[in-house]
This record gives sequence, structure tokens and C-alpha cells, in this order.
Amino acid sequence: MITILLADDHPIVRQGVRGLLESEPEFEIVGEADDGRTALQLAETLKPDLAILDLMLPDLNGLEVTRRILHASPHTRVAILSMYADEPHVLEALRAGAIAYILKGTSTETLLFAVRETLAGRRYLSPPLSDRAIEAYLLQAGEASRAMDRYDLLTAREREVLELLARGASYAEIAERLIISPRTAETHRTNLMRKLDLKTPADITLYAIQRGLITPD
Amino acid sequence: MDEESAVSGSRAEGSPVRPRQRSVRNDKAMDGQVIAHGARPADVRFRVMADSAPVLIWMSDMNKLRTYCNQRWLDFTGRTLEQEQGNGWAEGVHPEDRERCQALYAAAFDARQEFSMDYRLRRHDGEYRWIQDNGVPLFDLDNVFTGYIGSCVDITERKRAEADLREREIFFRTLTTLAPSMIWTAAPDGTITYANDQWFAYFGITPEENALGWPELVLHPDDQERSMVAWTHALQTGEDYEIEVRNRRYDGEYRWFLTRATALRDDEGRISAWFGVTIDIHERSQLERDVAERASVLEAVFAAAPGHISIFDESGKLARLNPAAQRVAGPEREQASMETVGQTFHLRTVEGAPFPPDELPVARALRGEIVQGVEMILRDAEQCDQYILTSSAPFYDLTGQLRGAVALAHDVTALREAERESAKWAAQLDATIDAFTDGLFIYDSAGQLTRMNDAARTILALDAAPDYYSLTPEERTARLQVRDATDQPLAPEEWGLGGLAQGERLAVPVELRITALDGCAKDLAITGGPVRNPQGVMTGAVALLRDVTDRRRLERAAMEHASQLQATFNALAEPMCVFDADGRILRQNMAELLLFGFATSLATIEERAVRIELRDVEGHRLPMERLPARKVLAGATLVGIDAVEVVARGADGHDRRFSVGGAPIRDDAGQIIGGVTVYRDVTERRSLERQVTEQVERLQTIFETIADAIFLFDAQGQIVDANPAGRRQLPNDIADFNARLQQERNVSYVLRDAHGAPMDPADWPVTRLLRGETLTGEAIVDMVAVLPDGRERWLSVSGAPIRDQVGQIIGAVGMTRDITERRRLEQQTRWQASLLERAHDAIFMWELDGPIAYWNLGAELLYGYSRDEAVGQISHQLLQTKRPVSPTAFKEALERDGEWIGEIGHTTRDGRRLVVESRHQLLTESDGRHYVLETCRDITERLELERELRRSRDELEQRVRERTRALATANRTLRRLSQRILDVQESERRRIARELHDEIGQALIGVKMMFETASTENGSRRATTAGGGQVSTSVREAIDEALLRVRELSLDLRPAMLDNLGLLPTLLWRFERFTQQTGIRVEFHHTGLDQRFSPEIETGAYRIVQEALTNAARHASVDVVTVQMMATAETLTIYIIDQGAGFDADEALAAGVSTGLSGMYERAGLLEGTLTVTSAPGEGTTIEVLLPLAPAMEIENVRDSAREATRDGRGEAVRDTARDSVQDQTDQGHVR
Repeated sequence: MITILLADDHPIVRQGVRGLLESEPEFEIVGEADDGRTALQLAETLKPDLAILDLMLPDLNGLEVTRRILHASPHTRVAILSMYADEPHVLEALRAGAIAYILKGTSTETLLFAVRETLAGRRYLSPPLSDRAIEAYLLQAGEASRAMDRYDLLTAREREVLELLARGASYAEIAERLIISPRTAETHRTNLMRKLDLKTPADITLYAIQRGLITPD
Repeated sequence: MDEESAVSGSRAEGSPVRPRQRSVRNDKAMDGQVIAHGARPADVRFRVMADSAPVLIWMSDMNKLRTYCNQRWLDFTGRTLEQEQGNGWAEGVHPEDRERCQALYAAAFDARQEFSMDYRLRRHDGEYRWIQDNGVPLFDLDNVFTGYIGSCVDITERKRAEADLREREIFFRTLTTLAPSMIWTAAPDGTITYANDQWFAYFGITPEENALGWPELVLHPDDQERSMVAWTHALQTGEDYEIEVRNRRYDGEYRWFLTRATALRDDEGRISAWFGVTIDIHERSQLERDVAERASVLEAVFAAAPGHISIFDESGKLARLNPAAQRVAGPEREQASMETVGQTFHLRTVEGAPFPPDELPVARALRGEIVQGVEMILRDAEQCDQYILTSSAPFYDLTGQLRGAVALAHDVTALREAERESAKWAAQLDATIDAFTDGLFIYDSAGQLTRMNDAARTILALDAAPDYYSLTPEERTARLQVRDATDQPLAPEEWGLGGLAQGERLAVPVELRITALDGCAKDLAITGGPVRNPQGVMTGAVALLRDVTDRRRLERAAMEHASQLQATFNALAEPMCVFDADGRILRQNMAELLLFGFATSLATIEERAVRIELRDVEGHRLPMERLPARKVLAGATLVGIDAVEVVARGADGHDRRFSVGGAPIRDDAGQIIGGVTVYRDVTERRSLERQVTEQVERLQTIFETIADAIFLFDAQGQIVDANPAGRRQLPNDIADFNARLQQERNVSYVLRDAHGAPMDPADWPVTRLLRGETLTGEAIVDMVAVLPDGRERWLSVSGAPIRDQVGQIIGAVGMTRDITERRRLEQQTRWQASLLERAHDAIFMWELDGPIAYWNLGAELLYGYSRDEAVGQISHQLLQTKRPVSPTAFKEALERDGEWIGEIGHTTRDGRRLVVESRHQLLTESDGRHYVLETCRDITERLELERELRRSRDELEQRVRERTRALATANRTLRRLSQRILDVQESERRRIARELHDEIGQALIGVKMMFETASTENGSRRATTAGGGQVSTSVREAIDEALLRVRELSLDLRPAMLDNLGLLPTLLWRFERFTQQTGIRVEFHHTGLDQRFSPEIETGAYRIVQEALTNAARHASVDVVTVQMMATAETLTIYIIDQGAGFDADEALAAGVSTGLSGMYERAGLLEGTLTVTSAPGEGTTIEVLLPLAPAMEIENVRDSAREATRDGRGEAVRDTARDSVQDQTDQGHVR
């Protein structure tokens, strides 16, 4: 007999899943919870073979419950049952240690299939989710996101002003050089110092040297 | 010492009687003085005293003239007083001293001073002796100067001693200075009192340093104690001190020194000083070691040398023998000398004569000669004679004196014996070679002919051409006219003898024809091989020429006969083999060789049987006694039915089948002497037979198993047979059916053509077949058969008439295929196509990267192009398609998702611009080509309407917003209200999103599940009820659709992950979705963002970024937007930068055209932050947002309360959310 813990704060969903699983002779629902803490307590005492958890449970969300269940009862396999069909949620669930991510609304046969896959230790993701989609998302997110360099914040003009300031140019000189007004040059200076988090004119020179924008002579 | 000298001086006189004589003379002298001075009693006393004094005494008067010399003086000089008086004494003074003495004397005299002077005075024996003369002025009682008195002492000895001492001192100093060694002296207590310059120079120390403690400075630390102990011992005992120690040289190098010291003792035997020498023996000890080493090497060589080494001294005596020599000599013969050595060892010359002793190498060496390699015979200790090769050389000592000679001898007996043996063999070989009947040529390794025997001369007829040897090799070759067996001239490289020079053995004779020098043609068989020495190195070659001229002539004659036979034999087409009574194969004809591909390599019929894998027709190998050839040899004649059928493998590797005939060959007496077998190839015939059988079987199988019905008709059109598929279509009783068929044909059996018209029996397929038509390909008949139960079946009928050999039709085969289902599908497809055609939407299909293939009526109506105009065109050219994404992004999306949906611009034939909602689906045909099915609906008008709506709403909103801003600046209370509104808006959105998601969504799911469970339980029963299944499916689909909508709606209202997962994941998700929807890439740089912020900040930041992206997508026309975010403890800074079109921010704000912009300002303001837009037309846009962050503690609290609010928010009253949700949806809307 395979022991199953079911946690969902929607009685109607619990009822549906229970009805479905109990129609299969090998499954036994040993516990039901409508919030995260109860689910965790039940899992700690019952140590079920399978925990089917809603992603967003009151008191303690499904991700946290997953992490703690896996800590308290390592043999328990966790399947997340969720309404959310977006990659970040799936990703977090998998990171927390869930084996399956099943979308609510999946047909009953698919749900049964997913439960069996989970018990066999095989990852299951409800369509249209897939490992490929998760990977693609990770890749794209990773590509889009990289560590921040404050220098990137500067506009081309601000970079010019920075270099001239570092070389000791006055506003008047900068204005003449870049064909702007001294007032604009000053604005550029204020902006770039704020963007680079620089406090004093000496900081500007120091920063420019550290970045290799100018070489000390 | 002075006294001593004086005494010795007197003693020198050597006579004891002298004093008396002297006294006599003294008397006389006294007399003389008295005379001279006027005698006075005191003078007399004086003179007596003076004469008895051991010293020479003189007196002089006031005129400097000598008046008196005592007896001792006179004795000394051997002169009389008279001679000495006055200035006479000066005559005895050494001429070199005389003047000086007189001057000194005179000077002192005049000054009345005492004087003392040394001079040499001649003694009576003529020897000048050194005298110290001390003179004092003499005064009388009245103190009147009366003259001088002097006394002299012989100081010669003293002088000499002094000179010696001086000389020795100088010598010592010189010696010590010049000596290469260090010399030193020491006090009895060991204190160094003196050291020569070398000491300081050598050790590089100053005298001061030396005095302070030289041992520490100079001595090697390891030697100090030893040195001290020895030195102390020497000091205590007075024994000589000798030690070897290492001292440090000035350059820091420690070198070995030998120090010796000896005590100097005074007369009492007490040690007065130590005298020491220190010598650098470093090199010497080095040298000694070298010499010892070299000597030991020499000794080892001497002992180990395999040759005999004997050493003779200069007298010619045997001094030493090395072990090898001792063995040869034996113990008793070691005492030989050069003279006897010849006899002792029976030394003889190699000719056997006694070796002349003078000529022995050692004798010559002792005369200074170096002798090498003299061979002689020696009789060894075991009385065996040895050949030895001796050498000898003298050796000298360092002075070049000849000190002896060394003789070396090697036993060369074995070598000499081998040489003798070899000579013997050579002689035998010579004899053999000359006795050879074959011509023999011997070449050296360079290929030069070194020898040739008599037979060779005869073969080449060299005697006929004495000038042959004066020719060059080329000319010789030309003279011989070398040809092959067919008289074709051969160039030397074609002779086939080249391998000989490379060391190959000519195992198979090379046959050449030459013209001998006497003009006779000769056939030669040449063999040969390399000659190698025992090491395997080729030292030359031998060639053997055999004159086969006569044999060849005989062979040729025999060959002619044989070839005639062979020609006949070979001309036979059947393989034939002749063998003798033992089964040895004698010959095989060409046919057999071609077939089995072998000849001489096989000797017997058994071997041949194995080779050709002779088997019976079942494939079993034939036992040897059952071989056809064996049967023949047993007397059987294999002809006709007796022929044996076998299988054998041909040269081509294929098995062939043969019918083997044969007959024995008998001699005159009827004895079987052999046999002949003939193989007839029957493979083709048999395989043909087999093929026919197989084909029949195959056809039978097809006939039995084919799904199509096959009927066989006789000439009358009666069915005589049918395959199982055909029989299924027939009643059990074919005869009855035939009868019925016959009958009903007359009453028009119900067959209809493809158009549904009844068929005339004359057009029935069977009728046409029997008329001789073949119904295949184009002629296949599609028709409808009405079955007895009234069902109609579509049949496709093909067939062919069956003719006998003369072409008479004797029946027909007909085949019918049930194509009812196919027809139905075709019809359905046609219907569907017509539906597609009639669809209101424009539907057209084009090959990916290719032309339009399909164009429906809707498309014709929408775009104005007819099908004929559109098909074959490139769709985006024809319609000037404008997509919101780049062609690359479009294609990628299409290939990734299989479809693409979006609003695109098209231009109609009459130039109208349309906006259509378009759905592209990628279809892959079975031929692998990709097609795009594009379905387009004109939404131009709808968009116009929407735009109009949006504009009025925007205006409205702008007004509201302006109003709000005015109020906000005027009143902070209002601002808080605004905050509250936004909060409420967010929380309402969140609430609605959650409501939708959690309540409605979950409820839907529950419903769906229950529904599914229910329908599964009642499955079978429900399904049978008409329409039941369809209802359940459509309900399920409706639920799914509703679920999807709920999810999307919820997500668009407010992504749940913002609350659940935080800002960073939500932004990443948003960016991805943004890129998907717009094709604009988001370059995202961030730092410090991997944490949770307060819900207000997370919401605000998310909404601002979302809005900024929306603006960029709407206005900037860029491919990429850069988002930079950094969070510090105090501030969250956000930059949204694009390099796009840009705009005048103030103007836009003032004009109120951008609700998004003001919304962003508002959100930033409500979070106490600032938002700056830097933009100008054409210069891109930078939006900078600074949001202050609350202290960490507060964040926690805020978050918790926010979560609770989120959780509990469901029950709260919803107020004033309508505007917000509208706003939010439109925010999302224009991105989609």
C-alpha cells in the first residue's frame, strides 16, 4: 500500500484528488491538511511515500513545506499541485526538491500517471511545462541578467566628462571641449558622481585610474 | 773572552819554558826602558809587573815615540824592543789599518785622551791578529804628562766569533725570508717569538693578530684540539713536535700543512727556545695520491691483462711476470734472464729455428728500441707450442736512465691454426671448382668477377677469343649477345640475375641463350647465390652456368608433339581432366583450368576434389571412393544415366552443378592405366528449374494472402477459383453462384459505374477481360457494386486475360479492391476543403520561404487577388506584410511553437492597409516540406474603434491624473490618499487575481475532477448513450478553457510570483514574456537584488519597470532595452535605458499623452522616491528611479503584515478598484 499525504487549502480540490486516488486500490490517503504547518506535522509523524502539496498553502507555503518534509522524511517524494503555470514557480518548486509539478486542471488519467511517475522517482512536469522550457527560461533569464557595473550607467557624454574631470579639466574647459555650456558640464558631473557613488573630486580621479580610463603620469 | 784569547794566545806559543826566557828578556827590556826614561825604582817594579802581565803592554814618551814593549808583546811580534821602539811598532800593524791607527793614536795623544782601537798586528808567525789596543795618558806625580801606556789584547777569536754570529744571523734572516716554508720560533712556554714574513703573508694575518691568537685564526677548527694536545705534549716533554694539520690560507682555503718543531737547548740541557717550520704539503699529498692511484691502476692492468707481460730489469734479468705470463711460464721458469729466456721457453722463429737471443724483442728494447709485433713460437709450461706475438719497449727512470724493458706477448696459436685450416679448405675448394662440369663464376662484394673455373671457360669458349679480357665489360656483354629462350635480345637488367648482387638466391634457374665466343649459340641455365661470412655479411656471390643446349633441343621436339595434343585437348569446351592409375592428375584442359582456376599445384584427383569442394547434390562432401574419377579408375564408364551429378566450387567462388562423365584409359593389354573425366555444367538448367518452382510458390502465396480479392474466370466468365479474400465475397457454393451469375447477368446484375449509372454487362470488367483487354494502370475500373444486403461497396477492378500458347484466351484473372473507405475519406476531404474555401476568414497556405500554394475565397474577398493571381506569389511581397517582430524572431517563434499569432499589417490589391489578426501554423507535409497555413481576420475597424476608445479614456485619465497631481502637490493628505488608492488598487488586483485563481480556478478544477471521476465510473454505460460522450468532452473542454482564462487573467492582473517569489524572479519572468511578446531583448544587470523587499517596493518597482518597458516597446522602436538595478541598504536604484527614438519628456508630461509616464512618477513619489526621465527626440531614453528602502526590521514587519493582509484580504470589502483594474488591463493589453 502506498501512503499519501494530501495538502491543499481547497476542500473541493482535496476531495477531487482523494476521490481519484482512492479509486486505485494501491493508494491510501493517510493524511489531509489544509495548511502548511499541519501538512508538515503530518508528514513528520506519518512519513508518507508521497506528499501532494499545493504550492501556496496558508501558514507555510508549499515550497517551504517541501524543503522541511524532505529534511524530516527523506524517503517521501513530493509532487506539487499548482494553479501556476509559469516557469519561475516551477523552478522554485524543483529547487525546493519537488519531483513533480502538476498543474491543477490536468485530466485524471494524467494526474494518475504523474503520481506514478513521481513514485518511481521520475521528474514529471505537466504540459505545457517541460524541462526544455525550464532550461530555456533559465538560459534566457541568465542571458538577460548579469552583474551590474555602475560604469554601464553612464551615458557616452558622461563618460567623456568623467575622463576630462579626472584629467583635472575645469567646467569651462570641458564646456569648450565638448561644445556644451559649463552649466551642462556641471550637471553631467553631478549625475555621474551620483551614478558612480563618488563623493569628492579626488574620488573621480581615483576611479578613473582604477578603471584604467587614464594613466597616472 | 778577552782573557781567554789572551791565554790561548800565550798558549799558542805551546812551550812551558817560555816564561823563564821571557823573564830574561823582560829584564833586558826593563833595562832599555830605564835607559830611555831614566830609571826610577817605580819603573822597575812596573816593568817586572808588565813583563809578567798576560797582556801586551807598551809605553810611549811624550813625543809619541814608543819607548817600551813588554816581553809578551815582543814574544808576540817576534821582534826586538829596538825594532819596536820609536815608530817601529807601526811596521807590524796591517798596512790597511796602519794609517788609521796612527791617525787615531796621534789625535788621542795630542788631546791627552784615552783611546781604544782595534787593528791587526802581525804575529811572529806572520799571521795578522786582531788587537784591541787601549791607551791612557801617563802623568807623573807632579801631574806632568810623561807619555802613554797601553795594553793590548788579542781579540782575533772574538772578532771571528762576532763575524760568524753576524754572518749566521744574516743567513738565518735571509733563509727564513727566502724559504718557501714558514719558519718560526717559540719561547719554552710555547709563545711564538718570531715568525717569518711567509707566515704572515701566507695566512694573511698581521703580527698583531698573530700575537693575539693565531691558532683560532689559522687552524682548521677540526684540527685545533689535536694540534694543541700535541704541542702541549712537546712542550712538556721536549720531544720533537710534528703534526699535519689544515691551515687556512690567506684566500680562505684550508690546505694541509706539515709543522715540525725542535727544542733548542742550552748547555745545561734546558730548553731555551723552539724552532719550527711549517710547510704547505697540500700539493705534495695530492701528488702522492695521484701517483699511488696511477700505480694501482697500472698494477691492476698488469694483473688483469690477458696477454703475457714480463718485466726485465736493465741487466736483462726477468723481474716480474703477470699472472697470465706466470701460467705460461710455470713456477720453475720464472728465474730466467734475457740470455737464458730463449732456451728456457724454447723460443723459435715461426720457421722453427731457435730465436737469436740478440734479436729477441726484449733484447732490442733493452738497447732502447721499441719493438712491435714479432711473432715466435714458445713452449709453455705444459710443453705445448704456442704462437705468440710479442712487443717490447724500454722504460726509464726520471733521469732518463734506462731501467729495464717490458715485454708483451699474445697467444695467436688459434689464429694461426685457423689460417692453416682455411688454407687447406681453400685448396680443396680450388680443386672442386676446377673439377666442376658447370661453369662457375665467383664475384666479390663489389660485383667484380674474382674467379672462374675451366668449365666456365669452355662454356663461353674463352680460348677462342684471347682478346676478350682486354674488352670493357659492356663490350664483353655485347659479344655474348644474351637472349631469352625465344631469341629476343635482352639488356643486362633483363637477364634476371640482378637479385644475385642484392644477396638473393636464384633457386629457379634463369634460362638465357648466348652466343659463345666461338660463335655457337648456347642455352644456359643459371643458378647462384650469395656468399656470406659467418656473421651473415655478404662477401660476394657465386653463379653457376649449366650448358643445357642439347637438353633444350630435345625438349623442344617433345613439346611440339605435346602441344598438338594439348591444343586438341584445350579446344574441348567441357572441362576435362586426365589422370593416371594412381589418381595423379596428368593434364587438364583449358576449359577445366578456366573453370577451376588451378593447374600444376594439385597432384591427385583427391586433392582436386578437396580444392573444388566436390559435393553431392545435397551438399554432402563425397567420400574419396565415390569420387567420379575413382569410379572411372575402378572401371566404370560414366555416360548418360551413369553420369554423376555433383556440386563443385568454381574459380569465381560460386558453386556450380555438374554432370560428370568419364571413362578409363586402358593399355594394349586392357589394363587400366588412367582415366578421363568430363564435367558438364548444368547449373543454369537446374537454377532455372528452381526459379520456376519458386515463382509458382510465390504467386500462390500472394494469391492466398493478398487482401484484394482475386478471381479466376474460365472462358465463359464462370468463376473457377478465388483466393481466400475473393472467396469471402462469394457464397460457399461457387457453382451455385456461377449459375446465379450467369442468370443474373441477363437480368442486369447490379453494378454501377463511378457516376452511379448501371453498367451494361458488355462493359463489365469480366466481359472486357475475356474480350482480351488488360485492365491495369489507367484502365483500372472503379465501380460500385450493390451487395445482396443492399449495401454499396466501391470496388476498384483490375485484371488480365489468360491465354494459351497460341494466344487463345482461355480465361481471365480479375482483382477487386474495396475502396469504399478511401472514397469516403476523399469525399470528406473535398467537403472540408470546400468548407475552408467558404470560410469567411482569409485562409491561404504558402511554403516556408516559398510561394503561395493555396488561396481561399475568403482571401480573394479580403485582399482582392484572385486565386490564380495569388498562387505562386510570395505572400509577404504580395501583401506587404508588416509584422510586429523581426522576420528572424518570427521564424524562430514559428519553428519553436509551431504557430505564431499576432496582429499584422497587410495591403490589399487596391492599396488599402489592413490590420489583421493572423494565425500562422507550421505544417509539415509527408514529403518533408514545410508549409505555413495563415488564417487572417480583418480587425482594422475594430482597432480603429479601440484606438478611439483608448484615446478618450486616456484623455479622461490624463485629466484625472493631472487633477490628482495638482492635488498631490497641494496636499500631502491627498497624496496619502493616492497612495491608498494605489495600495487598494494593488491589493484589489492581488485579491481579484487570487480570487480568480484560488476560488474560481480551484472550484473549476474540483468540478472537473468530479466530473471526470463520475464519467469514468459510469464510463461504459454513458458512452453507449447517444451523444453522452460528446457532452462530457465538451464540458471538459469548457472547463479547461475557463481554467486557462482564469489563469491568464490572474497573471495579467498581478503575477502571483511577485508575492510568492519576490521581485527578481518576477522581473526575469516578465522580461522573458516581454521578449516573447515584442521581440525586444532585455539586457538586465543587477546587484543586491537577490532578496525580498517590502511589498510596496516590490510592487512599485515591478510596475515601474513594466510601464517603462511598455513605453519602450510602444515608442522607442528598438531591439534591446537595458535595465539596471542595484540595491544597497538604503536605496533601490533602477535605470531603464533604451537607445531608441526618445521624446521630449517635459512636453510629453505636460501634454499628458503618456499616462504610463505620469503613473511611474506617481508610484515613485508615493514610495518617497524620485524618478527622472532623460530623453530627447533621437537620443534614446534613460529613466532613473531611486527608491529609499526601509530599515531591515521594518521590512520584516511590513512583509509579515502584508502577507497577512494578502491572506486575509479575501474577506475585505472591495472599493474603488474598477479604475485600477481597467488601467492594469490596458497596461497589459498593448503589449499582447
